Amino acid sequence: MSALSLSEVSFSYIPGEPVIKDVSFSLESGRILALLGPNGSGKTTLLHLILGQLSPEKGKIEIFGREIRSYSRSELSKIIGLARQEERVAFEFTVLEYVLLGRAPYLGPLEAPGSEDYKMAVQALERTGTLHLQDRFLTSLSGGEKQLVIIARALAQMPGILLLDEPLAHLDLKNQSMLLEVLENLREQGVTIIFSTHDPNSTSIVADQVLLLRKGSSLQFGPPGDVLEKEKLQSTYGVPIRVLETEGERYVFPENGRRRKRVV
Amino acid sequence: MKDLASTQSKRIEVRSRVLLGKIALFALFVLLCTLLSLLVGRYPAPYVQSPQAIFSDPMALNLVVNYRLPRILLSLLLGATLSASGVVLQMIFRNPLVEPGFLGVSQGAAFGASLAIIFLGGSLLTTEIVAALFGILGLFLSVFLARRLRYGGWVLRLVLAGIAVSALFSAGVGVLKYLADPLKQLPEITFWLLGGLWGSDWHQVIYVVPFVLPALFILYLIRWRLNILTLDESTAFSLGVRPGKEKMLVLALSVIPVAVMVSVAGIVGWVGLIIPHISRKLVGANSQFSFPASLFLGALFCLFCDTIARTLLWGEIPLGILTSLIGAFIFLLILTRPSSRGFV
Amino acid sequence: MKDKISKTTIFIALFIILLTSCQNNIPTSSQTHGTIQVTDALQRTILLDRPPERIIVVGKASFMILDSFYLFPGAGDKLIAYSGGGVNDPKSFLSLIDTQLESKQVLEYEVGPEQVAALKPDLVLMKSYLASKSGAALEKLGIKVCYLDLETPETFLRDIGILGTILNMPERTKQIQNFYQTRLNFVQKKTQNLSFKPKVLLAQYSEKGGSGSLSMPPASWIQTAMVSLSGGEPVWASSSQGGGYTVVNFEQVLFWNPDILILVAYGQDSSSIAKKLKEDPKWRELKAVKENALYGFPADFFSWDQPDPRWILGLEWVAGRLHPELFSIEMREEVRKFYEELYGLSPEKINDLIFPALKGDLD
Repeated sequence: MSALSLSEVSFSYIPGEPVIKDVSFSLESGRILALLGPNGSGKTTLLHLILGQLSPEKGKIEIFGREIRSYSRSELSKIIGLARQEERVAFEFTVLEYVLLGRAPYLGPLEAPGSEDYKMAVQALERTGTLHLQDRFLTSLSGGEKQLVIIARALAQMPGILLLDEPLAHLDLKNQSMLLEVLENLREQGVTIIFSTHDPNSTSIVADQVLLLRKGSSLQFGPPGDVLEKEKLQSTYGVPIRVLETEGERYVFPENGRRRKRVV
Repeated sequence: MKDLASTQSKRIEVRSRVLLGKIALFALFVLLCTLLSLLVGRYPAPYVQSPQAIFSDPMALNLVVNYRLPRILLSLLLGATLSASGVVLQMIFRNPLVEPGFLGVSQGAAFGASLAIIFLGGSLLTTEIVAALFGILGLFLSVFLARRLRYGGWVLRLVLAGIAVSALFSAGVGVLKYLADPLKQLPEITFWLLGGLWGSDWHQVIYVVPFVLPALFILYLIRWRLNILTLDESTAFSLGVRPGKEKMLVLALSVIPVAVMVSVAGIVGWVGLIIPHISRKLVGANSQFSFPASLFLGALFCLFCDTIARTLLWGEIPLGILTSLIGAFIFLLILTRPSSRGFV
Repeated sequence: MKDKISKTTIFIALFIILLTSCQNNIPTSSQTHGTIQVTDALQRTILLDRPPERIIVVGKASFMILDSFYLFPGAGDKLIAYSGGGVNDPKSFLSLIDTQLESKQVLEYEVGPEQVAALKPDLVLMKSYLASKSGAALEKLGIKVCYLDLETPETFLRDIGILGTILNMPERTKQIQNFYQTRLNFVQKKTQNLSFKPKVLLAQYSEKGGSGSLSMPPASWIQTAMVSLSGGEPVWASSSQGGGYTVVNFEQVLFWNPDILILVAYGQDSSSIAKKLKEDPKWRELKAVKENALYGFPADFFSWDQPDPRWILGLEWVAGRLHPELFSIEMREEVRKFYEELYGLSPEKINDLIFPALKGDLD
């Protein structure tokens, strides 16, 4: 069953300057999709389109077989969760208080979380391995812990689809590895995951499918093995690429190894 | 797994009850202080009087019923309104340094009320409505201006814009006062800019309550959702909330009561700034608890200050002076404490 | 050669004469005729080498000085400019007694020294409390300033003397002082050894939308003196501090619970305010309201409670209210005498212009 399906979707903020051009793909439920591409390629816009916050000018988006427009906001918020890279809070919420916010779709405007919601929040924290942080302030967490807590909040929504915007961007290796493990566990629990990244290597570790984006157009959609290909990557990133295959996995480096990985 | 979730959930519930208990304690304290302040004043004797002294004297009874009681109620409402508004503004603008007096709301309301008094006859109802409109205008201008500034982060820009708009409207009140024919009965500038409840009576209470109580009540009912409005727009959207619309509704609900209170009490500052901070320190940042806590603590603070204003000296001390003095003092205490919680 | 020398001599002589006549303000000890020396309200000595012909009155409450100024007939001819406008516009009354008023320059209350200097006055009159604010600036520009106080009966009489000296009208000065002194003596004699002095509260109604407060004048102001002189006890006098009105809330009023409550309202009819308060439930329990001793202070063009020549009418009225058993002053008759003797108004004018302007609880 297809969790997400896009057909010929286009979108522009300013008329005449499309940010997303004719993107089409279909993702089965319980799979992980990586949106890969340099900054400015339209990854975040695409996520917002899938979230339903933006409406496509052309084309169709279907969630679990239904057009996205046919869902009410309330229904959609119980299906799709969003975990952004950063959650800047001006006040010192505890981790638990923050994760409980994810229960909003299930609460009426006059309601506050109850015991059921507490249970869900606790479970969400467990799924991301952050239950031990529940009484800490959000602002006191490390980058990796914070990212996981943000995911936990999205999980409290009990979403079928989880969207993550650049989750790995500011994490060190240890945290990246932790996060990718969490994503894998979630996949095993049947959650469909879509995450955006500009780092090709993270995709090969965990993604089932990769959508290679360049300037809003889909260059390729398929398993990492197909997409992580030298020519395509070079034309996407505009720098010479070296592809290394080892133990059945593909790894990507810029050609001049000494140069630090720069955002293109 | 399920057992763990249950026990954890129970623990959270207990915590929640503890916080509710704290808030109930605040409410009780407010009630007690209200009753006590009925016995405080300048008649029959300065400072504290015994209940017998009051009940045995028809004049004292008349004073308590027709003057002290409405004034006490107004001070409670004033404190609750300013604090509630402070909580809302701070959360919506994700800025712990704002209050209605910093964002042009109070000053706009004072300006609107002055206009109503000079040009529109100055009936209490007209004054309140025009004050509300200008209060909203003040906020709108502050936000609009903040968006156009190019200096500093959002927090700084909003505060700067708010100060500019506030100053503009304050000056406007000054100009109106200067130009206005005193035949039109424009209250003294000191009243507007420093606040005061010395003219309180039941008439004002009756006119203020329909604007203030429903708004505060609605805000109270939706208090948990205020937390969501502190989140980023996309995140809020993903949670099924309409951030734009809900923010506007919440802002209107918090600005209108403030404007109405300003038209009867003048501009009283600092309450909306520090009470939310103190509440957050005592019950946490979750508006589910910090909102009602702010209501009661704010009411208590204003009651305390106004009781001093009307009792300490033979003449009235403007309320705004006391709230600023005591408020700024508390503010400094909070800032200079080693464990600086509640601030980001 | 002789012609040349004589021509030169004449030329030089003419030149010297021209020079000396161009110089102003050379104090010559031989010049005593026309010199005026006067000590003003701030104990400053002002020296004028000739009677001033160009006088300006500036500052808030200019009407107080102007009304005193116009007590002297012909003084208006010497006035070239004055501060006016607003609710206490001097014009309202002065236009009745000075047909040339329109030709005089009207200045702002907060007028800058340059505007005053541009009019080249011989003398500027203002209230003494404006000395540091406005007076000093004018004096720096070399303009002579005379300060007047008018704030108590004693200083009022003295300041009339100052005006009389400036205008060189000693007989008129005596006339005016006599008018006041006789009435002052009349009231004082009767209230000198009173055993019973009613507690009096004289206050301005503080506008605020509600009706919970009054404003007390400072103890040093003429309102307080009026009550004491009339044989009353001004309840606020012992506590009154500060240089302006102080707001007191209703509780304090109740605490004082005066025997007599007198309300002052500037720019409005004080009797309508008094009436409003009588109907307010809060005020009903006050002794003054119960015994129907709540009065609105009378006014015509200006309220009679201020340091304006009309204060004497105010004093007589207060005395009549405080001690009706001692005073039965026919106030309208006093008003008539006041305007007739002090401002030279005809009975017709008084009937047509003054009486209709009367406000407050006069009778």
